[in-house]
Amino acid sequence: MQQRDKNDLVRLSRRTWFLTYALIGFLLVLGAAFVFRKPPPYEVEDRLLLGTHIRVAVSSQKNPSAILDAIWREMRRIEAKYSSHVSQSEVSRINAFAPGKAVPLDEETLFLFERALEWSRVTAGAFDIALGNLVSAWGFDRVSESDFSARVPTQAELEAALSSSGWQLVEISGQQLFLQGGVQLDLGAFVKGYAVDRAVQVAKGLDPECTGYVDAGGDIGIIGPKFGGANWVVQVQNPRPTSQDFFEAAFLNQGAIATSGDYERFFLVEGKRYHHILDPFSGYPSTRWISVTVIAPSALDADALATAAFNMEREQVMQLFPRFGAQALLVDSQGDVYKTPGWAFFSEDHP
Amino acid sequence: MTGHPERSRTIAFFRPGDIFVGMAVLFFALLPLLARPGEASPSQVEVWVEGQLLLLLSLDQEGTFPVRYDGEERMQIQIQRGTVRVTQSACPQKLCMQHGPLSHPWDVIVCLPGKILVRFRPPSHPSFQGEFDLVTR
Amino acid sequence: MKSKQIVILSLLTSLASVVYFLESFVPLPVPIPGLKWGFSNAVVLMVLGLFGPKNAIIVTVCKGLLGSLLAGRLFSPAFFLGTVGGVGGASTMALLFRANRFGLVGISLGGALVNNLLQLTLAATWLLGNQGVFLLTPLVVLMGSFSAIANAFLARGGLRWLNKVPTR
Repeated sequence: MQQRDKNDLVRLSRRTWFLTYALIGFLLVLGAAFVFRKPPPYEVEDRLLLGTHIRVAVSSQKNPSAILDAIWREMRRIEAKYSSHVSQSEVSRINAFAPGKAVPLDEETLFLFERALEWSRVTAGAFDIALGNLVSAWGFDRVSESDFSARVPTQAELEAALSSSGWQLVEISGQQLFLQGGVQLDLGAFVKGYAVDRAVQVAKGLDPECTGYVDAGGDIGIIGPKFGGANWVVQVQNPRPTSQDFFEAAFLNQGAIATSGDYERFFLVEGKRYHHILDPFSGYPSTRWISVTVIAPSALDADALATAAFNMEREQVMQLFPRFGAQALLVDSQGDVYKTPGWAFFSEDHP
Repeated sequence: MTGHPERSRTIAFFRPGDIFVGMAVLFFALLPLLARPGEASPSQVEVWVEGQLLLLLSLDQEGTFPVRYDGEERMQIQIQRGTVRVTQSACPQKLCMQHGPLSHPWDVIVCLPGKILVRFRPPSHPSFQGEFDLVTR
Repeated sequence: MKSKQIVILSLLTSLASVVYFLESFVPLPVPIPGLKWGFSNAVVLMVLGLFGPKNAIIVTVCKGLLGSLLAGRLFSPAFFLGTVGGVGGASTMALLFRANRFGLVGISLGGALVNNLLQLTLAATWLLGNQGVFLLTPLVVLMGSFSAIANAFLARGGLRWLNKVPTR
């Protein structure tokens, strides 16, 4: 009995010590790691794609450069398929069909058009992808500056363009699309957002833990919180940068943010600004707002809603947007700023 | 006296080795003071519940604020003349209420049962001070 | 183990449990939840000197269980913090004791230091998830050291008294 007691103390206890100290050491290391954790660095790459400057930042424990490659591959695929600047694109193919003829669509295109028409319905036409003829009447479909006309269309031209524009002329039935009355599609306001969403999905698919962002010319999708815990600070461009370039910061660790402004593409005739966001009701550039920024769960929605808000009254925006988890910041030509109540959450840095 | 002479050993009250233990104690006691950057006058209070930043209050904003989490009010804190104190607590011992008002940047109020921590926002906190990551346009 | 030793060990265990329970009623100069005087560790120190490391750890666990049961705080967050810290502290005391280079003061101080650092680390990582807890380190460690030195005196007194109790 005594002998065993002694053994317990000398032998067994040694293992007990070892285990106890392994535990203490583990807890101390855990604490130290918690206190002194180093943020993983970000890999940042820039490309010119989809007619804009795209920046992707990714941090991953796995393989950030593989994630970047996959993102660029996906974005190039989307550009080739949907960009209106590419003559072989899906949009060009669809627009070439004769009016009323059934256009077969693949799953992805079907999804995009259904989503677009859904937003048209919800916003009562404030967002519209079927304004191709109106856009060409104003010349905003020209790619290069040299063949850009900078001419205000005549009333007759506008009426003609308006009669063959509008989402009601687009119909989806089964897997097929029908374009009535010579309507032309223009996915300009939609493709960038979709590309950003796909890029975020691709990154998350390769490493669900990875963080970073995708910035397609100001359409921003957040892959994950900065350094795994902090917010990305997104500045909103001042639409008339006189004294300061930015006037508002949004703090995001997920979701997306997009801005539409009358300063992006415009021309001046007799001192009047004619910009690229057209009012589907009057046919003229929308004048209610000079800049709209939208925070939404996805970049596709943020993009669509930012365009839609340009053609919506303030009360309409305040009422509609929160129903879709979206927040808006509206700036009118007087420089007055209006925000949905929920915007305040993103104005503060919640770590 | 235990009957095991080989194990029983009288322990001296003090031996020179104890000085090293004392030095280790001082080292750990002073370590956080060294690690902490120069103090600035705090302007914001953080209320953390279960590892989440629940409230971020400005010290200019005087008043009593409830700390609600998981549908229950766990605490009420009061901001007055640039200091913070706990005026109500749902925990049994209410030690956090005995804690004098928080005024020093190093001070912190902890409620273990409520899993609440109240502290001044450290000046080194990576918060927004004009720098930014992205621009939406 | 002789029955006399078992009796002494049992008495010391119950003493530690009662001290562990009662000291929670003695107000501290600083109200930090979970922080206790830690005078029950004087008993652990005595057990260490009398019966060796293994029994010291057993007594630590028992006083935590019994004391928390008395206070109605069994399996509360504070109980887990106290138990993990207590076992870590007792192990440290045992290690310092076996190193044969430290006196009661050093053993007690080292045990209290590891005990407190462990509890702070656990509170910061598991309970509160906030490293702001470490702001308390200087206060907690210095308070613990004060108790630890007091414990060394208490243990010396206790051991002297017990050595006068005839064993055979």
